[in-house]
Amino acid sequence: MEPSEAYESLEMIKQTRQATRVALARGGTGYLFVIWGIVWLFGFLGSAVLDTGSGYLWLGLDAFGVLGSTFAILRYTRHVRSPYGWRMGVFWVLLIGYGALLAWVVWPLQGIQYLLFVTLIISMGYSMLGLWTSTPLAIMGVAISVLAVLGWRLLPDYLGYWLAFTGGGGLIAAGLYVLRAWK
Amino acid sequence: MADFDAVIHQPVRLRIMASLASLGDNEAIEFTYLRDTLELTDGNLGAHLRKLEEAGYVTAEKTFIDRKPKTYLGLTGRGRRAFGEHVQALTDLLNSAG
Repeated sequence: MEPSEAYESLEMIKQTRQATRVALARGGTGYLFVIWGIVWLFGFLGSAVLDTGSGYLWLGLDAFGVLGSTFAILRYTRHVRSPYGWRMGVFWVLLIGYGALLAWVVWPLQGIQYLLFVTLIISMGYSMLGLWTSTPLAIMGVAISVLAVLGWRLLPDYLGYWLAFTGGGGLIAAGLYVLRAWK
Repeated sequence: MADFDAVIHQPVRLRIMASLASLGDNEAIEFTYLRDTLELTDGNLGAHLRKLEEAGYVTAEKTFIDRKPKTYLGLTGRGRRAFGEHVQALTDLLNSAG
């Protein structure tokens, strides 16, 4: 074989792997980022703007998030089978359960503490799950955690707006990036 | 230096192996999804997959979803190692050429 043939083969391998990863991302992480980014964007904005009723807004948005995620995951699992699929679902149930227990132990939480607590629990989930399944997910988890803490310390009066745009906007941007080009 | 694998080297089979190698261990991709990702026909993909299965590099699991037959494809451990060695052989040749 000539070196030029080897080069062409390696380029073909690289392009095929990228095309496969993009195809898989369209059905997986990308859509989930966008769905939960929308939930966080409007949920945290609602928390910042509304005096009352933000809890109902979050309930509605979370229902949208769960339904949207379920649809995206079911669509994805028709194309790819993974031995880890059911474990991921159990992971989130356990994480939210432990988060609720922790909140009960440390209750009462003041307004912005509650926003930060929920944000950190969820972003911790992204970070841990991403270690095994998706590097962008792990990076997003850590980034959201760092930005959330910075917003809490530097802009406590505007934390809801900060989390809406850094957390929600960040997830949407990450989802669009993953859907367009996974490198 | 690693050796080239004659079964994997064929261009279509090389792309199939590269695509399947993108999956995690024990993950499998549905036949039509792989076909569409690689822009191949059913016959072309099927013929090359048979060669790879005969070599022990690919597994094909047939099942039914919503009463429709589906085939899920994944790399065996042997296939993953063979692909890795083939990629290493290509890289070694390129590096030795300077």
